[in-house]
Amino acid sequence: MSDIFSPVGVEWTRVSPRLAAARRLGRFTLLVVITGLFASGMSASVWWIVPAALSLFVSVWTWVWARRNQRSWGYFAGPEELLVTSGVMFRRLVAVPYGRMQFVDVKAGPIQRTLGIATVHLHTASQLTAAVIRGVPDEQAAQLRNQLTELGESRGAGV
Amino acid sequence: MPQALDVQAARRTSPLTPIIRLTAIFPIIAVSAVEQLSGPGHDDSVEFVWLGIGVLLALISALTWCFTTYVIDATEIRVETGIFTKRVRRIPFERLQAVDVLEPLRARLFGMAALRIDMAGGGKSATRVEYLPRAEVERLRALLLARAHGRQANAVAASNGHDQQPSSGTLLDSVNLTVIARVPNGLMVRSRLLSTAYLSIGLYLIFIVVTAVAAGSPKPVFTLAVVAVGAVSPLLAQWDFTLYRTEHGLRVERGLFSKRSESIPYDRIQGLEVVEPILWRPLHWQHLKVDVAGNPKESGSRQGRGDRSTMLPVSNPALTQWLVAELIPGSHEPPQSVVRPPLRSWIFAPIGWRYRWLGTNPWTVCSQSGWVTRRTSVIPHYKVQSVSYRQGPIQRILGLTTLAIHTPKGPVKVRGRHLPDAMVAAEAFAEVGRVRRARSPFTNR
Repeated sequence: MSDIFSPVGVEWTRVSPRLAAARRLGRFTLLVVITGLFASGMSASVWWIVPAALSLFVSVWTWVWARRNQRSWGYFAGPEELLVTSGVMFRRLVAVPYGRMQFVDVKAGPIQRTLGIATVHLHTASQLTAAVIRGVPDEQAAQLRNQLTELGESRGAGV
Repeated sequence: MPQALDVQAARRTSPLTPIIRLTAIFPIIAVSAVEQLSGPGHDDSVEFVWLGIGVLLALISALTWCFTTYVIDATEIRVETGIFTKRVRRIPFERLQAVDVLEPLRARLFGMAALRIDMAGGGKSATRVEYLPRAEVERLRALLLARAHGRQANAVAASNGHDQQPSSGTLLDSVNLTVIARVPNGLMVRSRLLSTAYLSIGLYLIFIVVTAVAAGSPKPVFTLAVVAVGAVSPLLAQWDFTLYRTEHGLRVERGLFSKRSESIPYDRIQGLEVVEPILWRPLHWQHLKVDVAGNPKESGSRQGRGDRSTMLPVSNPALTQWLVAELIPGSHEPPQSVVRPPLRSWIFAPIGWRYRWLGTNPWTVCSQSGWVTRRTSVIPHYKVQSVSYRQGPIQRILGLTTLAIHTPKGPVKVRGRHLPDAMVAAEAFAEVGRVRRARSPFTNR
């Protein structure tokens, strides 16, 4: 059976593996802080083992999840529409005709900036569109934004 | 083209505005003041406190009015407010979605009305200009609607490479009123009473009365009154419901004590939905809803009074069908391709799966769902923003996928849940193609 999340004629541009690194870094920082708080509160008893074991499990899980999730992201700027796909367990594919595009956002948080990646968000008049591409390398993000803006202008239509 | 009306200096609303606004809170203050002053053993300073509160409120109200101005120029309407920090709301005519004339009871007593303007774009986007003499509000509405229409038509003409044509007969809007439908009050009340909401309120009232009689206490009288007012006010809001056709759009007029008159330009209609609750179906009653970009609910609205999504509170199939076909060209044609969920999708909706389908024709995409309350939604291709499909782990095992058609926020939703994989992918890309080619028939008029 052909996979409907990789349609014929669509070559997904995959996002940077640094997205996985960014996510691991973010989650691990949070995990260390939470585990530290719990462990310091329990240092008197042997039960500090419990939060430690839990956090070890979550770390391994996060490590694997971040990689798999990063691999699931992809976008394809086709001749007439932009396609974005993501998700491992819950998979999603969105198709946005360039004419419906209103504007393109490029965002990057502190961790993302250090790793040189950004989030590209394409907005239409509908909030349901949610065409978000995470983990696009910086230079590629700028290029994509310009390309999309140009395509949007040439095929412009109102609400 | 430039007429005397075209560019306007900043204007204030009617000087009666602070008084009308105060009448909303004055009774509360008066009642609590009288209550406290008539009570035993108060000293004289209490009177001054109440007087002070009254004067302060009057002052704030007057200042707020004083610092509120509005300007309508060739491209936009601006409303400036704020005593200390100045806020400017700008509404370019291209983004204007709907214009309403509101007449709350307290304003009607003074012959005044408020103008409410809806803009495309999420969040809190309704802007009010209050209060002005009724005739003036009507004139402003006609002007705004004509401008909105003109701007849109010009933009399209320009992008098509044609000469710009100024819209003519701009102020005829309020004159060319044709009644499409008048909803009889009796029918409207009966239809509302036959809804699950009112039936449960009825049961609740009976429960209260029975327990009160059993306990022999008069306490629930207050509860009864509150529930009754809550139950009656939505009926009063839909009183004398009349739908008109005007040159540029539709107009709804309704309300008994507080009146409102809502205008929706034809090309701002994003989609329509026909709602048929199970109790209504044997009687062939239908509720017609409309989607307009912008806020369907006014912030701080009470008892759904601000709900502009109702196009007809109760309608019959013939009228509904005619109106839907009129507002969304091509929607009367039966769907050419219909996709239904297969039997294996029963696990997600044991009964409902039989009643779901999604269909398309060259002009529209529509879907139906629900076996208790049946909802049929229609969206023209030219209003669709994007298309997506998603699949969860259980769906993957069963080979099912959910297809969603995205339009601006509103009550109308078109989607096909748990449809066969291969059909969804084909349907989604076919729809994207139709969306791309679709153009609004209204803007080219």
